[in-house]
Amino acid sequence: MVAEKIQNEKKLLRGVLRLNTKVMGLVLGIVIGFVIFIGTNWLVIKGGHITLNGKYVVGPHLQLLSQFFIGYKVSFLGSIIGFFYGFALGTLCGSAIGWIYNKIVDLKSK
Amino acid sequence: MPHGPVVIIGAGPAGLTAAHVLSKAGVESIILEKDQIVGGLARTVNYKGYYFDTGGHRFFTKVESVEKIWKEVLGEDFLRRNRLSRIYYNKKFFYYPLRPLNALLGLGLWNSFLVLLSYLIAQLFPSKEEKTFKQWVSNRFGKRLFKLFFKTYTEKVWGISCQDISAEWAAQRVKGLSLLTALKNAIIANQSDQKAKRKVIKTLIDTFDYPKLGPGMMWQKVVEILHQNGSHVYLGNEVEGIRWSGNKVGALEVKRNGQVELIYGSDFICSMPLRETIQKLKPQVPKEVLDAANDLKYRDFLTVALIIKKRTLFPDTWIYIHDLDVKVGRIQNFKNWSPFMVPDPDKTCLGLEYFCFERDSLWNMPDNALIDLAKKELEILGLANENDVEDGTVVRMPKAYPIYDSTYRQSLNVVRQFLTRFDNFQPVGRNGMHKYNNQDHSMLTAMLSAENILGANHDLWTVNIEEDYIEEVRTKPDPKTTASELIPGIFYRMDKFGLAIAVGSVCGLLVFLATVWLVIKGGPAGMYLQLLNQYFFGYTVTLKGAFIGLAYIFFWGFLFGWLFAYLRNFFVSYYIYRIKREAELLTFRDFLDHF
Repeated sequence: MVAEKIQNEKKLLRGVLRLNTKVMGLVLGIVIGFVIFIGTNWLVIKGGHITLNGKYVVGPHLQLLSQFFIGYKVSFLGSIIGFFYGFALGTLCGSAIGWIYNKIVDLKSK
Repeated sequence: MPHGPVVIIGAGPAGLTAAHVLSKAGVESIILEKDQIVGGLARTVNYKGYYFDTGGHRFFTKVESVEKIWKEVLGEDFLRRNRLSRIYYNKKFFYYPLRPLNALLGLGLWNSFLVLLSYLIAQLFPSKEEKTFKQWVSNRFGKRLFKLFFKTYTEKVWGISCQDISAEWAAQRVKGLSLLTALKNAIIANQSDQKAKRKVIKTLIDTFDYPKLGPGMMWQKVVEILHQNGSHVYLGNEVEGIRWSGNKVGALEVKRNGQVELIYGSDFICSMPLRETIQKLKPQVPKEVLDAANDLKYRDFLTVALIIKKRTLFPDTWIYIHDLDVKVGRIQNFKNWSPFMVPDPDKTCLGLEYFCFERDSLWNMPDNALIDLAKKELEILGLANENDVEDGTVVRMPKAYPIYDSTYRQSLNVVRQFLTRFDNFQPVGRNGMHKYNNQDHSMLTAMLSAENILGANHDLWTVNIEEDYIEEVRTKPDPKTTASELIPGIFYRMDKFGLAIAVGSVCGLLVFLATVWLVIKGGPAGMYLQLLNQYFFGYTVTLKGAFIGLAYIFFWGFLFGWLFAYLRNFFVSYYIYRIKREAELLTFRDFLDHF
């Protein structure tokens, strides 16, 4: 039992962390999703401005996201759509980071 | 179930506990004790109505089954005592466990400054080697504090220089040092749990239970219960030989009325010192086993009990004496342990404890000379007047402490290995296993040995070394265990290169795809993405620019990932270091109490 404990301590000090790809994806997905959701709603609540040609515009720069996220708008509905896009992108990126990291750790430990 | 009586050698806490557990299961046992008194190292001596304990045995334990036996046997006869024990050094009292303010005030400004300075030096420039006890303590508290509060007393107790005591021994005395357990506790336990835990530790240190008439009262009561249940305790019966053959012990040779008698049994539990056990095996054991047993050493001690014509002397239950100009190591004030131990309320009974080796000059000193020495030292220390001492007596305790020297572990392994051949013979207790067990752990080994006879399969040697084992024995399975097994993984090192590549390639790919998408689709976002070239020279929203962006972002992502992993590893390592230090210091608080 003592030997096992020493072994476990050695393992603790020498072990290399593995990332859980699902958790990584989920966390990054939620974070990016919420950043878009909150960022959009912040601009909606703050309100927009009237342009020289008399158009009322809210968050014209964030609106550019619609170039990548089709259907996205700077509005409450758009924030929900943006959340799903952000979640999907974050999940993909997080999982990819986890997967690549684990592959490299596996390769190095061989 | 055994088919004959179980024979138990020694009527100390271990032997009597084993008999008690067996008798509750309806198994008869025969207990052989060489002295005329029960209790072993936890005996209580009665001298003219004054009761005194040999060593000071507090009754507190983390082992529920042991606690249960204590309460079951003595019940209302336990007193809850507040503990006050101080270090007496240079005619000043210092609280023990140490209280920073009290220590600083007691040492004076200059000395306190030097202590703090030496502590800082130890923290900044610790000794790279941690081979000796001196190095181990100095690295944690500074050389000056070590010299003041640990050196003299430790050397008095063990009779050897702190330079010769291995650091491993210090680490063994500091229990609960498991890094994994400390980390698990730090993560699993929430704040309120931590507070409760600290409270329990504090309580264990500040108060304790104690039988009205000392620990011997407990063991007398156990003997009464055993007699009622049909077991027999024989005093003045020294075991002369242990007859064995093959993988069985068959009988014990016991000297009674000048004649050697044979005592047969189905199983044997032995709490006599391991060295003697091996020496008494018949036929004689192989030479290497005998040599290993002879290498096991013990530290002995004697108590000089003095009856003093004073109602009170000092409020402490016991005092550690660090002064080098006296030989006494510890002074017990038995009236403060229990007022019932001193029959005359106008008098006090002190026990001056001297650590020595059997047959050294102190051990061989006549009782009268020892009483005179004790009186003189009390006066030197300024704790009592020599003329106030009315009477005194001496009790010698051979083999009080098994010595953990540099060779003991190897020798113990040889002996232990040899003893595993016996199916029906189990060594238990402090001396029986040559293991620095306290009373509760000695009792636990005995309980487990009794359970083994009743059909269980416990490994007695893991008790005390392995805290988890105790947890396992005393508690139900912890639902948090499975979760806690996963926890060490959280602290594993993160691969810097792995994370750097992963973050770099994902971020690089993201920018590459975004650029390509805009190249294909077109639109106003392109001119904004183009702004990236303010940082990444040469980047454009073109196919070529997509590759340039990929390279740039990969580089920066790589750098970010590497730095993140590096910092994460650094802070996790620091966290582990802090947790380990805290666990060490927490358990070191009552370090001196373990002697």
